[in-house]
Order: sequence, then structure tokens, then C-alpha cells
Amino acid sequence: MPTTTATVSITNDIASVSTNISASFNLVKAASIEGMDEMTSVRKVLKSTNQVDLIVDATAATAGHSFVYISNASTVSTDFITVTLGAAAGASSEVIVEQIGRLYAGDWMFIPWNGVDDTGDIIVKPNTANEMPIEYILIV
Amino acid sequence: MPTASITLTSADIAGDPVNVSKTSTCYKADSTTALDQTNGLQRLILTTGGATDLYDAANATSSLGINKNAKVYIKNMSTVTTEFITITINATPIGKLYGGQWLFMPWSQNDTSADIKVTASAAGKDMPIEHMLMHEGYFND
Repeated sequence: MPTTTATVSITNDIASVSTNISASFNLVKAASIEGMDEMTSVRKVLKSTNQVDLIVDATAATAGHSFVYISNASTVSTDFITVTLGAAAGASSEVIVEQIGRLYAGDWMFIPWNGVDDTGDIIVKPNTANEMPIEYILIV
Repeated sequence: MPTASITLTSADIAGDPVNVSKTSTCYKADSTTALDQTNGLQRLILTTGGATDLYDAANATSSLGINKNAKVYIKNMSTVTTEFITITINATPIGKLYGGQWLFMPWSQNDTSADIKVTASAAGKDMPIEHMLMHEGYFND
């Protein structure tokens, strides 16, 4: 049974008193202590402002519980991708259900992912047609 | 400046060890100026199975938060592995956090319905969670 550990460290020094968070857990299957045992790791270079169906719900549909890491590897500070939940309806015409947020150059996110229905795809859309490298890891 | 780091490690999920490490500074949108507002780390005990509104985008009617940069951290502090919280945005499920699990994600409040809500898996039981928002435009009513 694989053991995969996710650790976050956040330093919030916005206020006059800093908050430091450190949290760690092993990625396990739903309601289980059995470690997740499948992983997909991808790097893409996006070259247009078209929407890209990054992770299709069917990938994780049987599990209904997975984790997704996405990173914008661009070094141009104004470059961002908009990350949304939606459904593939054909090339460049995905149906957006709900926008999560933007990942600017160097930003990352790590979320649990339902991925169990037709509108649960993870879709990204760059704000520029310049080359924008992104990376994602799906652990199921 | 506020920063967030992640490490993902596994010695055995693949044929070779996995070791991902990433640190980012939390900037305002389209800027290299750091986020300058925060709700701070908060602890909350969920006691019902109904949805609890953690972050309300409704006050974005004044456009304070729309398409600005914000970062959300949520952790399920339960120690029971079968207990989970479901995280939704505008009622669309993102995923579930079981006991001890956390998430870190952006939030751009693209419309006034983009509230982030959490729902405990079991009503009538205390389920502690911790959460924090760092942002540039959102404010809580």
C-alpha cells in the first residue's frame, strides 16, 4: 500500500502578528486508511487562450475522491490560468459550471476532487496565447 | 510577504520516488505586490449536516472581490478517518476533506454567488475545522 504525504507550510505575515501553519497528511482512499495507489503527472505548454479540459471526470469517477495539484510554471508575473469546474462539450467549447480562481505565474493549488459527475471536469484557460507551462498531478 | 509551500512525497506510489516541492508568494492579481488583508486563522465547530457559509461572495456587489486574488486554506481537524466535510463553491462540489486533510486554492469570486461553503458528513456531531483567507479585496459583512 503506497504512502504519499502532502505537507503545506503557510506564512501569513499580513497582520502585525504572524500566523504560521504547517499541516501534513497521508493521502488515503475515501473513508479508509488504505493509501491512494494511482498517480498521473503531466506537464503541458499551453499556446492559446482556448479552454483546456485538463482532467476529465471519468479519470477518477470510480473513486469519487482524489487529490489534484496544479501549478502555473510560467515566470511572467501577469500570466495566469483560470481554473474552473465544468464539462467538455467539444474542442474549445467547454461548459463552465463554476470558476474556482486564478493561478498566476508560480502559484499552485492542492484540492480534493469529486470528479464524479459530468460537470466536474477541471478546466483551465490561459489569459494569453504566449507559451504557458503548467503542471498537474492527479492522485487517486 | 505571505508565502505558501507544498511538498508531495512518496517512496512507493511509482517505480521511482516522487518528490514535488513548490513555494509561492501570495501576490495581488496582475501584480508583484503581496496580498495585504486576511481573516486570520479561524477554528469552527460544525455541528449540523447543513451547509455553512465560510466565505460569502455576496458582498462582491461592490466588486471588491471579483477577479481579485485570494487564497483559501481549509483543514478538517477531525481525527476520525470516516468523517468528512464537502467543500462547495456556488453549490458546485469541489471535493471532500476527510479527517486531517487540508486544501489550499485560489478564489476569484467571479460572481456574487461564488460562496465557499462546507458541509459536515454527519449531523449532530462536533466536527472541528480550521480555515484562513488571505486576500486583496474581499471583506466580510
